Amino acid sequence: MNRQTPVFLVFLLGLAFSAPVSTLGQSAKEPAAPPKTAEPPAQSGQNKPDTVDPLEALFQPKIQRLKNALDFIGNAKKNNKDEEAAAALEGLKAEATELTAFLQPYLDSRLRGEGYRLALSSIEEKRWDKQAGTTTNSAGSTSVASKGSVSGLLSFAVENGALTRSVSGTTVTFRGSPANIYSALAKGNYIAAGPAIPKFDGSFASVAKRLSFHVAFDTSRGNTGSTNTLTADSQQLSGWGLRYDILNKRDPRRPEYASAWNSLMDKEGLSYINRLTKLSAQLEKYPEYRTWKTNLEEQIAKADPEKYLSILEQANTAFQKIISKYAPGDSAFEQAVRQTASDAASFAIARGTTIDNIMGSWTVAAEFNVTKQANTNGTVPMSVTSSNGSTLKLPDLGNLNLVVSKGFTDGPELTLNAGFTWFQNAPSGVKASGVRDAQVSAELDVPLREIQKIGKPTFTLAGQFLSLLQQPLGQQVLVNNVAVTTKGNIGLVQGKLTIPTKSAGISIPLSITWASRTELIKESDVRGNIGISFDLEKLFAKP
Amino acid sequence: MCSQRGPLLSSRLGFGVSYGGIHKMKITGPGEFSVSPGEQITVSIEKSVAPYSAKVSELTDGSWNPKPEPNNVSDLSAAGGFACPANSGDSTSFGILFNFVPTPTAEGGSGDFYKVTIAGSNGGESPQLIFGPGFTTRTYHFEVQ
Repeated sequence: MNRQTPVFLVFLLGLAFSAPVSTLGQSAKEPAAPPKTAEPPAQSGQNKPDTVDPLEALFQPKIQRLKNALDFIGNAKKNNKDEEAAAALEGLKAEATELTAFLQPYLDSRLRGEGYRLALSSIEEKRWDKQAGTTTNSAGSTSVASKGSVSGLLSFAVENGALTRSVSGTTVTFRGSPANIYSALAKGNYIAAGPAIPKFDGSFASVAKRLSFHVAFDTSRGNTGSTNTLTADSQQLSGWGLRYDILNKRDPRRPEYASAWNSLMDKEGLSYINRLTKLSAQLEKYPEYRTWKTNLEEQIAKADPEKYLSILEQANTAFQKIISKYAPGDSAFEQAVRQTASDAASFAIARGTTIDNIMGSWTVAAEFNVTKQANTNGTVPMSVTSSNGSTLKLPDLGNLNLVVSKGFTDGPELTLNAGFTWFQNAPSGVKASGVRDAQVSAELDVPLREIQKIGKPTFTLAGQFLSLLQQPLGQQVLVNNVAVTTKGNIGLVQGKLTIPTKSAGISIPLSITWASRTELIKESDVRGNIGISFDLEKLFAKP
Repeated sequence: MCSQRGPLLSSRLGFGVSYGGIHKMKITGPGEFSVSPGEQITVSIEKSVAPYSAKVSELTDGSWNPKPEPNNVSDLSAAGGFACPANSGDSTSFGILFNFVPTPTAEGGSGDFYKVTIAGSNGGESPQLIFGPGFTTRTYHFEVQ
């Protein structure tokens, strides 16, 4: 299978569990957040409804707002700012009874079809890999503990918004921008520091804020047993990198988006709040509603945050009973409830569209990354020998990458990558040195029209060219998720249609792949130049 | 009082004194107020960090004078007011939609909030903080006693 084949076409019909739309190895997806480095391609589940409990998804933004109020109250009390604490407590109680989430059952099917994610405007949390209900400083949300002075400093920086922290497996990655950290410290907090990547205006800040860094630690190193403790020492250092955002306007706080936000508030926003005010005034006439409000406010004010969800779920049931009691006998009231719910969803969808448009702007970034392979226990393959007979450690890798991306308002997303990787420090006596590989890749994701009761199919067109100049030592070189070891040039083009199914997490990919080497074709059943793989067992398999 | 602009959170003292049909504005619940006939209500909204993105509804009974809207795009505050209905037993309401413009690298957290202060011309005020993320609303209901 390793022979060179000029043209190889494969037709694949198979089933996969949340398989990536594009499986082309190292294609980097442009992230929304500026300081990110190359990431795996988008998942096919991007346009599917969330698999989390809908009622929980419904209340997550509200719960996060309640938690933020509670955090503020705690800090205000600590600093003896009793008036501010009292004002925040009033806000917390009022947030509990805020009506938007409770009106969702009255959405018509068209708006409900947009999903809870859009209707509740948690779109930005998803898009930016934020977990609803979890703040960036919640170290307890991972299994990785921290100790030591360096990790303490990093944790302090995360808690104060100077760095972001992400965890993938046993790897903990910290990201930040020196100029943004300075700006945040100077202005008191991160949000007040303004857009992370401001418009080029000739100022030093507009140039410096575009530079960011990341540093990654593998917590599985230097620990005994099954504990993964972050010591952030040189032994755990698995990589670091720099990124310069040449073009990136994906910050909704930038002044040029002010008119878009104003337009949203003047149109959909005003319509919604006018309607909600009238409905609220009508509800105030019902004694059950006033009692419901008082009870919910008291419960939330006294509750542990862990209990917020169950309290809100119970309150939701009680609220629906109130509506059910009055709506049947009062068609005007029922109509008002439905129209208010509809306006709420329209506002949320318009808000999501505003964010989508901002997130679809062009980005261009240059990255420099170092992978500290020498820190691992891995050794070079047996085929690579030292001239002096010593044990060889893996060489560190350097990488330069240019990442370009563009989103389109009707959904498609284009990503381009070009870069090369080299051995930083070849083991003594080994010939491996210099450039290991050069790669260029492109990917276009096109979400297609929704199939009723199934979901949105996605069409992906992707291509990759790789010139492998050296045998990889350590980190694999992947093309179509296949590790490539033989030197030479490789080309691959793939068109794929991914169709979701009613079963959560299962999608049907239908793809055509051309590759210059047959080793890159993953299908299990290849007949002549056409491979077919159709595994019905997966469809009916029990999880 | 309706057209009072000036610095927000300026000194507003309520003495809890009733004389005739006039009494200090009372908070009867979150977003619920008991007011005097024709009492002037001042509403001020401040955002802790940029950008400000809130919208105030029309009154269900009455009209704003002026409506709380920022004077400039970059302003982080707005102030306005209205006169309550003149007859005892009447009521009026308004609502505010608070939008929290998301940031790509931070959630906003407890440092990103709006502060709404509602004050009556006969005394009494109700400051409230509203936190993100996403968007949320508040409605305010005024019953004339």
